[in-house]
Amino acid sequence: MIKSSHSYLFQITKRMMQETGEIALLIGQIIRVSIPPRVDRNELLKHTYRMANMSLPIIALTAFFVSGILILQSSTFVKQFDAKAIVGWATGFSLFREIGPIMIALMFSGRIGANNTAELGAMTITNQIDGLKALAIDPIEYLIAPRVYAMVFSLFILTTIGIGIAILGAMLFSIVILDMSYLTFYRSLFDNLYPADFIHGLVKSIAFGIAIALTSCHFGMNIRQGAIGVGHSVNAAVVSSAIAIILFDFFLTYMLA
Amino acid sequence: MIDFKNIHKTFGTNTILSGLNLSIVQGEIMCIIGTSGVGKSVTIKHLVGLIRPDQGEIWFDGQRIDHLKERAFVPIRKRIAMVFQKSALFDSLNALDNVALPIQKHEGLSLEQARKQALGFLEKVYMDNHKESYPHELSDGMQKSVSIARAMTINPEVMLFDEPTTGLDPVSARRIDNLIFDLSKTTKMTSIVVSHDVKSIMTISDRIAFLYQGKVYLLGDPAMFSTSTDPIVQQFISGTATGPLVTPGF
Repeated sequence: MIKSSHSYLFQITKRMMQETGEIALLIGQIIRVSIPPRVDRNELLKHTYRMANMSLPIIALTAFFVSGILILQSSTFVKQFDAKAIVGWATGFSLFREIGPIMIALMFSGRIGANNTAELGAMTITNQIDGLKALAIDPIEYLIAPRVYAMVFSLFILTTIGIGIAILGAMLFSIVILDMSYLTFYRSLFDNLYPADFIHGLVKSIAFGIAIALTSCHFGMNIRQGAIGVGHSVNAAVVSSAIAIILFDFFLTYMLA
Repeated sequence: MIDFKNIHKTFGTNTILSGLNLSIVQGEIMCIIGTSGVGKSVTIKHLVGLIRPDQGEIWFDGQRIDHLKERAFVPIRKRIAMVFQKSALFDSLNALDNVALPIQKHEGLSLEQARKQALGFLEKVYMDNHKESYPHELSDGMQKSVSIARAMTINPEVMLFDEPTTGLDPVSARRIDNLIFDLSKTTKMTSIVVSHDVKSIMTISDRIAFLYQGKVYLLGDPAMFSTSTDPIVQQFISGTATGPLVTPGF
């Protein structure tokens, strides 16, 4: 029993090391086509537009209602201690630094990362990537690097927009639920928060974008077992992205604190 | 022009090629035939670096290519084009843009300029009327024609066709045969056709290599192949289920 669990742990560790190594190689290949830039510009623009456009409604909706949940959860204590003066600060601080970037990244991973893995996976099993290679077109240059840059840029933009919507939502919910004035919320927010709080969240969004892009592309390009493999790879990409987001969040919070 | 020397290839515990030797002369149509799983596609994929041999040497135009790194393979791939068994057209692009893509990438043209040239290639394979169609809107035969047009764009010296008539109705299959034959003879390019369609290979090939148990079992022209008294060759030609021919899985 102990021996088999040791063997299982060994297999899991070996697999993780292998995946990490392959992602490191992918980073190297992306850097290679980026200096000097040989990334396909049309693909980059197409994917940036598509990814940002596809995710905007779902991210706006999530951001709006997350801010509502924050206000609802805090409403009991705010009313009990008459702490309306800190509502704007508390909401803004948590949205800028933590909840905004992480919620939006997780939504983006489920929406765009999973889609990207499935798309690349289908291309792999139907020989479309081999087709590119056979035409002397570098798949990293044409397929992968544009998607990676598009995902990082889209998530950055969506995080900025999402946090903005969440702040507006929080303001609206505090007026409706807590009977606060617009001015109280505004002063609490802008008198106590600094640009660094906002930048903190944006730095995280870039790191999360890199994590989602690399894992989704890696698992999409390394599909085995045909159609069943597409399902496995999408699953692996979403789980790995979520783990990477949480780990990056921890270390970035520690470093940027 | 192309030499496979003592090629060995194993996937896991499954040995596919075990000492394959084959020379292909410039300008000929060489058909590689054999039963399913015998290593026909594996053999030609070695030529564009999609598969690397475990042992042996591959020479192309006086240059050894089996040990080249991925980036060093790019100039070779500009001289050897491949048409895949399942066409491998890009789902997200229509027929015209599928053909325009390599032109745009290799010649640095704008999309509009590349499309103009691509239309010429589609005309050669009689697919210009379907230029706006996406791969899923085309039949298998039409997809193969577009795939041939796309491969032609790099103006290759060698064209590899991986089972070009598999899954096609007899009329479409003969049309693809004619297309391969006409393109090969008019452009004087070398063609390597992987197939198990006996009718097709008898029509178009200059020489035939019959693969069996990881090696070239018989090499010769279509007349020699059809008159062979070897029981294994005869069973393959007649397509009978009983006989000495051993096939993977049976």
